[in-house]
Amino acid sequence: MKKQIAIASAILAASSYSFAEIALTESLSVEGFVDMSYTDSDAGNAGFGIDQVEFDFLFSAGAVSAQVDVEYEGGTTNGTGVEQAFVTYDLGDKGAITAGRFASQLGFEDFEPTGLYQYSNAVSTRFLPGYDQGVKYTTGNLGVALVDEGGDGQIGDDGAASDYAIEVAYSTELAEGLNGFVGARLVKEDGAEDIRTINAYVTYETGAWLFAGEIVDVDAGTDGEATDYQVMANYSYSDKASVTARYAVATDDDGDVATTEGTAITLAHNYALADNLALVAEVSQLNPEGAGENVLSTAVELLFTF
Amino acid sequence: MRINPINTAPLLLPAMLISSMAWAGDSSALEARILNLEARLVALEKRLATNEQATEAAQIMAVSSGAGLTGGNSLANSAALDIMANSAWRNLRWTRPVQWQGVVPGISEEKVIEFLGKPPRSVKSLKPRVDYVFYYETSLGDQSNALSGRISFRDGMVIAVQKPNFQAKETMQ
Repeated sequence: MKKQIAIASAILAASSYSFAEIALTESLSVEGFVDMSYTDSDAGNAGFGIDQVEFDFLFSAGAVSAQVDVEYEGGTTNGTGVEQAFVTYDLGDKGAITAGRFASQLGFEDFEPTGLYQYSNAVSTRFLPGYDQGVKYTTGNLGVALVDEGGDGQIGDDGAASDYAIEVAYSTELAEGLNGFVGARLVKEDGAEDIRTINAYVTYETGAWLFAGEIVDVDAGTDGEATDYQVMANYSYSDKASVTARYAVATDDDGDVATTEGTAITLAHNYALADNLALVAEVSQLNPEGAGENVLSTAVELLFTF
Repeated sequence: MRINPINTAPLLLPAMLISSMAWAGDSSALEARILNLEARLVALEKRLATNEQATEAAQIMAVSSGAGLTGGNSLANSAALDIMANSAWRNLRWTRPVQWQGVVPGISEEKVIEFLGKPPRSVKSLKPRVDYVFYYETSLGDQSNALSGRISFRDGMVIAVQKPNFQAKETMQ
């Protein structure tokens, strides 16, 4: 129930290599997970349901590999869709080229619940990008991507509201157990100001402890600015269980108050019933920056991987 | 008439010629037979090696499914062999005890694959101190009779090894 601490994996996240898979043939394998939860909050919207079901198909033959992630996401309009679909050509010592739809390299938190330390994502991750279509070049701990930001499937001056984004990411091991990451994304839009996002985080792992700190700085010109951050500590007190505490802040620099702004304190407990089955319990309190009252929410999540 | 080299020569020469021709014919025929026998021997050795491999694989499958090959169900045996033939890409060297001797905590994932081959199944572990687990199994469903081993990794290195119960397999055989 954790992100791979080797941060290089964040940059290479769109490669098809995976630690979890069931081999179907010599070159094709499948992996995935089922995520369900019971949630409740002061707002009174208690509910139980399937949050996400995902099947990832991985193909690998020589220098060419590919991955297609098909998912069902509860509570969304479309429900089922292709989350990722990309092909990677390995250039050997010269790196690798990936093309298709893939996850952004930015962000400390994993895109999937299988890589999170808690049930929820931090409020400070609200402006981080998700999945885009484009091309990416990775070599060592460096990754550069050119993607279609607007989601219209075309990169370039095609008249759409959004055009393209350039993303650069770099990670390094600063010392024994101490890793650092820095990344940036520049979005060029037709008829709008550029959006610049800078993301940096460090992790430090010592014994059963893991500490992490992350900052996300977004500058959209006259449309606003924001500087969000989070700090997190995770302690594994046994082979099967761990506890996590997280403090996250989301605040606009221009003084505008949105519903997502405020500070959030989150406590979570993870218990692995087996290698591929875990129970996560979380309590989180959001203190809105505006006039709203504090919101206490709870969640119990059951996660199965294959 | 006295027998001398001059008057015997006309008789001896054709006889020697015929004899040498016959010998030459026998020699080439013999050589051809030897070559043919050698080719058959090579072919037989290949068939023997293939059959030994198939028998071993079928025995593994029979143990994993809880049924011996001597059960009289030739159809099932044939099906097992077919499955093995169609699953030839699965590396079965992990089913040999000697391959597990070098698999100990502290070695890398690459070494494990070198010893045992790629695992048929692996899982990203949800346990806090384990990153992922390799499962080497002959059957996913029948845990009581299946031959299965598992290796846990942390930071790309082996932290725990559970070897298959080869002793139980031999007992069943």
